Amino acid sequence: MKVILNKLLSICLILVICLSCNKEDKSNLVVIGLENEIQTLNPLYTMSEVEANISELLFLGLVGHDWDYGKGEPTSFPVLASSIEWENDSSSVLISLRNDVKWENGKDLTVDDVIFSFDLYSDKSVQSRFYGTFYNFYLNKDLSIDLKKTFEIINSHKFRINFLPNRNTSYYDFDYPILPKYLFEKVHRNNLASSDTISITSGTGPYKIKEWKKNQYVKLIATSNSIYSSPTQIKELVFKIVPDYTSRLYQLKNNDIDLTEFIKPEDVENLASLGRFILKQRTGREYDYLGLRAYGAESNSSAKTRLFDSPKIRKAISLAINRESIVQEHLRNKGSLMSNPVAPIFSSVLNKDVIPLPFNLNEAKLILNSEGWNDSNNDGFLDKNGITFSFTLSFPSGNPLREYTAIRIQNNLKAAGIKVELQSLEPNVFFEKMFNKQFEAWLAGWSIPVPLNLKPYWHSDPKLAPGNISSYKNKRVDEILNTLDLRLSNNVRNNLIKEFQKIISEDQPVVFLFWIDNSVAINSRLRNVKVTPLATIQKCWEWEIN
Amino acid sequence: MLGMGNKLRMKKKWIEILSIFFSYVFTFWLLISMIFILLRLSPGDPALKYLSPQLNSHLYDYVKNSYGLDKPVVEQYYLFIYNLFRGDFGISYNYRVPVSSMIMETAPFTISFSLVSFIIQVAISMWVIFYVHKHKGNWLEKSLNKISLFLYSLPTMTIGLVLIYIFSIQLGLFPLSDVHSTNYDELNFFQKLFDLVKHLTLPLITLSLPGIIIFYNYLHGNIEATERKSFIRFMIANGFDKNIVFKKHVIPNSISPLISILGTELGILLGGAVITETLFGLPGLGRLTVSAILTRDYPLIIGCVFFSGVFVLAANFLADLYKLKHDVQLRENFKNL
Repeated sequence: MKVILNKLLSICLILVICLSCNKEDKSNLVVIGLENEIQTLNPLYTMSEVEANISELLFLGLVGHDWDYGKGEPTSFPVLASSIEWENDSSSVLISLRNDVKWENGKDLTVDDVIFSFDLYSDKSVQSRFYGTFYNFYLNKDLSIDLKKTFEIINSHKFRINFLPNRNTSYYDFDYPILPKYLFEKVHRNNLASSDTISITSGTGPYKIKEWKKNQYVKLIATSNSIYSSPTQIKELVFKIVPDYTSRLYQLKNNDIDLTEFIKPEDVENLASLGRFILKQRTGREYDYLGLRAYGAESNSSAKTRLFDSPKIRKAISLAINRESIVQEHLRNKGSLMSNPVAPIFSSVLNKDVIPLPFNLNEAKLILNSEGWNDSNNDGFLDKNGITFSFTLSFPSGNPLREYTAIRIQNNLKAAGIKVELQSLEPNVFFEKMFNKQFEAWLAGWSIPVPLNLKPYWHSDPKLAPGNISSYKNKRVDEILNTLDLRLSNNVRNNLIKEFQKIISEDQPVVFLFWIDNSVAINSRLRNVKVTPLATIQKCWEWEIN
Repeated sequence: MLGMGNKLRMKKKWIEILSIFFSYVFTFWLLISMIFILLRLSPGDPALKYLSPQLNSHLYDYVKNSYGLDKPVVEQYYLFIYNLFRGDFGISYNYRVPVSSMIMETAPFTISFSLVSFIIQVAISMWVIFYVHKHKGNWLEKSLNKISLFLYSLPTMTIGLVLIYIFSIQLGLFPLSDVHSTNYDELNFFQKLFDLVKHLTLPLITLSLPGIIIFYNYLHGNIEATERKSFIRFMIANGFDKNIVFKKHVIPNSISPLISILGTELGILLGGAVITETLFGLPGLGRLTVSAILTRDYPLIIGCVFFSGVFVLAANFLADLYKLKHDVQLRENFKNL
């Protein structure tokens, strides 16, 4: 009897404990599921887009940006600045700071903080991600900003930025999170990367770090003294790291996560049918391409490695690949065919006459034949001067889209008489080899920077264009890209970009495969989440919970 | 005369212990050196994320230099050993924080997780042994004998995936990942406890199941062998209580050899923890190691290996000492060396 009573009591106790475990109260909390770990939130070192977006919630910049769908370009608005006045020739800008912005220690945000921040961002010893990117500024030999020439202090809240003459300047030139000088100056510049200053302070943003568990989550809590702080603002944002996609998806379905990006096309319809999620597409920021190494004038390459030197051959390969079927079958139309690296979202500069090459196997074969490639030994593959048209296509492992695309390309090109060997490599190894130009053909993708910047990808000078892996070279393209750095009228600029698109489409330096949409799933309890080409996690202070 | 003999015996004993200890130090040095060399030989670049069209190309070189990767490998190795003696594992390339602090942050979880799993393994396998002994020839013993090899051969990853599919995805009984809920701090003690149990049930089953099978098989075999020994037969034939004989004589004589596999088992446990933590998104040393390997974070990889190495070798060392004290044959072998 005693034993039975004891057992009953134990069961009751367990039941009480279980019942006392209420469901999570999420009335003022939003959980965002992330695939990759957040390594830093220090604006000096944020490398990924997500890290940069979160750090912008902590540290505001002088300006913010929005996407103008009508014009097809970003628009800017002042944030920490109260007014921004450009000189007529855009060679300088007069900026007044808001006088209601205060740091955690109660002191005002001043011009000193702004100049100090720019100095840090451009300092070689800091090794910030922005180092060496101040192209429109007066610079010292070590590429740090020449503060004397660049900044003209009018008073503690007003200053002028002088740019190099005749440059294409914009709001993006001074769009950097502003850091508190009083805190950052205490840390030696060489040690800023390993300093925990960011974790212990709040910036000018509407959120501050509450808790950060590496490899697990970052919790942000609303601040009350930011210019964007408001009573309706969501109190807590949790950025939860869930590397496994399936786990992320089920947590989303289970309401453990409220928002997550990169939903696989095959899951989009299913999520939408549940009625609890809003599915939004972030288009035109990423594309995949088939890289073909053109050796051009390089003398150390054999005839075998010069397969892709001719634009006609590259065009034939483009024609032989059925890209549309990949977009339909694997991406389920959550993407679109492309003709060149200028995304359709940039509608103001889009050359509508340049259209994607169609899938046309016969034309591809004709071009290859006209270039001297024939199946002379009837082995099913084209050859020329005793060399078979064959190459190895490398791609990073763990990416189902690229694995699928590689197999499709192999099959498509086999039909055209081209032999393709596939090589899957671990991503770190793959990208190391890719940047060292060790592949003859590879599958990869690029993210498109906003504002549009084509030079780092298509200029022939490797120092100016580390992204030109295929060693593409075209004199006119170089001229256009160099001219685009200068101050031009909108009309001239737009025409130049349109000309660029025409040339690049004809030259096919790589086979432009498709634009990939980023599908974002948002729990319908969340309102005001704007998914624009700029970002998904942006202006979180405007989000609301139903 | 007797004192001289004792001193000599003590001296010999210390020599034995020291020789074992130094063999472990040598193994440890070999392990760390091999990891260092293999990392330098393996393809991949720790500063790869600084290679981007949107970054200045000089930044990559500066960062690589600041990592010390521009120096000759021999110099890097010398610096590495020198820093290791000073207890300095360096700064993680990814997280930009001292490696030691990253390990201190994650190791407590892995240690406690492994320890709880170890206790579960021993407790459950012992319970099963007792149960099976009490009900010899019943369905549990028969089925365990049949499926133990199958369960033992199942990789931890497969066990975890099957459990996730059944209990998290299909039945929705347990969370898919994490060690606790996002609102953990706001819960009361009982709620916290329940939350932890809910989150850690599947990971603990995943990690413990192979160990339970190992212990069960090993103990089961030992018990059967001990029971066949003449002194046990003699006691039972003389009317001693079977249960008392089992608890006081069979079990202690069967457990003793088990100590020798505990060191190895700890290594298996840590290996399993790496997979389990990655699968269930738990914040331990295992997940940290995997992430460090994928991003070629050399100092962090070495730090993690160092810690795990110390842990496993220390357990083996203690097991060796235990054996040295209790295993007569081993002691004789040492004397003859």
